[in-house]
Amino acid sequence: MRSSARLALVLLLLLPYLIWLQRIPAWSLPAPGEWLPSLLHAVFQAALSALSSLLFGFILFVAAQGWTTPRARRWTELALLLPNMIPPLFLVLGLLSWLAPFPYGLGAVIVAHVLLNAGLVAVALDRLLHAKMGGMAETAWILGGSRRAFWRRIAWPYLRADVASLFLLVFSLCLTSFSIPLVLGGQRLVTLEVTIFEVIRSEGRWDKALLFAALQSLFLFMLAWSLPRPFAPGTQVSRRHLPFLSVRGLSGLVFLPAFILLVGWVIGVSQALQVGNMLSEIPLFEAVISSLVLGLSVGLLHLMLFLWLALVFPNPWLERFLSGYLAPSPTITGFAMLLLPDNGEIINLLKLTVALTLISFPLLCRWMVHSALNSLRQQISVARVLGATWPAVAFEIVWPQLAPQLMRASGLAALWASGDFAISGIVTSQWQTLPLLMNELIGSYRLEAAQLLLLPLMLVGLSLYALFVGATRYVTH
Amino acid sequence: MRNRIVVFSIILVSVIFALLFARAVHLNRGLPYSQFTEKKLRLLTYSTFMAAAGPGAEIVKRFKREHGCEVEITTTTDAGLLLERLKIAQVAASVDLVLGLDGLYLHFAEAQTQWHPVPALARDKWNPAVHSEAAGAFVPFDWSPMTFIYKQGKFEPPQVFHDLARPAWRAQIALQDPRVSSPGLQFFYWVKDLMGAGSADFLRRLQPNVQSVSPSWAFSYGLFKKNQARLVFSYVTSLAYHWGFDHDRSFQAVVLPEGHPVQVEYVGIPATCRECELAEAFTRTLLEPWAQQLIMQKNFMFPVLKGVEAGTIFSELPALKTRALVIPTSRDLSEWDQVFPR
Repeated sequence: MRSSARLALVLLLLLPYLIWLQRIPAWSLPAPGEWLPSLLHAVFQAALSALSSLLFGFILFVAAQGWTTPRARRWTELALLLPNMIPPLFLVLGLLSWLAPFPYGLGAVIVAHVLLNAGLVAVALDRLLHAKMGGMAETAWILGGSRRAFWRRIAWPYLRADVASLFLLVFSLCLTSFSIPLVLGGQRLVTLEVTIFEVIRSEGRWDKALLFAALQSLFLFMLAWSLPRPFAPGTQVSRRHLPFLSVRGLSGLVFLPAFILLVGWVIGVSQALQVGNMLSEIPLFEAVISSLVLGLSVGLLHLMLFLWLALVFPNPWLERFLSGYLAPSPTITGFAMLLLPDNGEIINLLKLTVALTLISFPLLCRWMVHSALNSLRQQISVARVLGATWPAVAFEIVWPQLAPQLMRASGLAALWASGDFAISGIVTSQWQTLPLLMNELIGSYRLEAAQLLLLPLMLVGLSLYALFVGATRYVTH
Repeated sequence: MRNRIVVFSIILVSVIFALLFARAVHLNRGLPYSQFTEKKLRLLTYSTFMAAAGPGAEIVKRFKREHGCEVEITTTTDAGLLLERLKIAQVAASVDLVLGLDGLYLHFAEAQTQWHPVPALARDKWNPAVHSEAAGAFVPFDWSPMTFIYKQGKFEPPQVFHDLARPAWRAQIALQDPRVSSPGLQFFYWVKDLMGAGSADFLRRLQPNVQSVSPSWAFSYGLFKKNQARLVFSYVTSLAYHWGFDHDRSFQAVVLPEGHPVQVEYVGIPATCRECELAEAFTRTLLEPWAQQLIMQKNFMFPVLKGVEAGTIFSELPALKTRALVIPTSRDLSEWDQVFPR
């Protein structure tokens, strides 16, 4: 029963590949010249972006330690995650408002990726350190250890497997990035993701696109398997006041990414207001409702899948699979959903929900859930020895301890889904979400009006995230 | 504990359905019961056409009223993906009408799909620029010459095509990628048409002047509006938006004596259509003066019918000399690949 459930989970995640495999009549292997340069460019760009994101994320983490009250911590976390709440295209537009002409090229792509991911890294480091090393840091401080010695002799040896895993997460995000290299890469900075879109758009070669996507997934898979297994942080984060880790004067830096984006947005909005009333013809209500529905559905499906995962955990093969698997590109996943029978609005919403979940679930699993599940391995073994059933293990041991983490991950998935326009634009046109509306406005000369809609988009994203995080208290009561 | 998860899930599902209901009520407000009918036209088009600010919604609304039918609309965010979407539609659910096919892709469309014959239309009323024997089973519904748009400033716009490669324009030109964008392909074919065997050489000289090669027209126009580039390859009708809506006449079009390429958008009826008569009726509707006026005003393209633009901002746009490009049947972008490699 459990092995069938495990297999079903794996098959669900592989669904886009499975759909395409039975649809493509003939396969031909692409020449290395068609994919190797793109892969090498993408790997180089992603490695630099991930490394820079980790470095800057670490600085932001140190800056965040200066904020100690629970309310201040909530605001700093929000500020750090803000760049992830808006579609990358609008992050790019925010950046472009700062400099004209903008210095395009590899540097610009890295800066955008750092801006996007450094906050995520800082939040992850914060949870990791407080969960695993809060006590040690406190002891080191009391014993008069220097900050440098703490990082070098205690933290680094203890956390390096987690840092490697965090690097892989950011690396995979940057490797599969689509709009940022396209827009900021200058004349040409091609990633494999861009090549996938090109072969579909200009050649209609789905076999080639699927092979490229599989190649990208395989590359990340091998990388994930070659990394040491991350240590499992404790599931309950008991936060300590650690002034020892903070650096005076850096605290304000925590708001830098959000500030850069918000100022860019304010400049865009001020231009929009000069142009005049631009929102009169826009179906804002419908777009807000559609974004909310989509976000809620994706968040709920994530929650269900996390519970499913809790039910079939532990299993070494599944864990290996989840630690390395990356969903195929949004274009391939979106078009795969179109190949399924078309039965109106609700079915299309379901397809869109599944497509968005297939993209974000493996990432969130790797980032937020996998190591947390690992930490319960021993408890699960003991419970099984004592005769607990698997549902009892899932609902009485795993869920109570992981609920905050799972709800947060579901909230993040909901937030990302509400900001998606790549997959939504492919799968269904019946659900006009805010990002799709913004995309249409840009396509009809109304760039400024599109920028105005960033405000409701951020509000929708934040409300969804807050709903899931806020509900944690209820479901774990 | 388990109960609470179940309760939370139920609440969440209830909220989703409540929102779905609110959305359905909002979308169907004022819709009489008689509108719920069996006849349904399945229309595939690009999202900007059907956008709130686009002409599609109003045309569809009037068509539904006049023909007592439902119209199911499927859109792609990118007009270039229409053919790929059509391929999928042939597998999953059929389409009666494809609206927004680019003239450059017609031979691909013909090779890929069988098309229903064009309905009888009064072609003598059309603008000569859209007459094309290559159109076959497709009907044009709007068009525009393509050129470079700039904002008047302390510089002289290019006077001849070769001026684009002058050092004065270093890193100032926003282009679209011909591999993934129709305007980008128009530009590339324009270069090939004008330069012939010297195309790669010209592109090599142009390359330092290219500020960006965007995946779509919208991206590159956004960069231009953000003052990232001084020249953007676009439609001459882009001026109609700036002159008419922004009341800003500082936006101007580059007028070149060599002649400009023309983008024509077409509508086609796949041979697999179920409601072929409705599809034909919709095609005729698109060419009625009121619809042509709407397309002109909201899609910012010239109407196909002669005289519709008289007395509007479109009649004030610069009259560009057009140039019929030779469109190869197989796509060869090797000159572009040499200069802007993957």
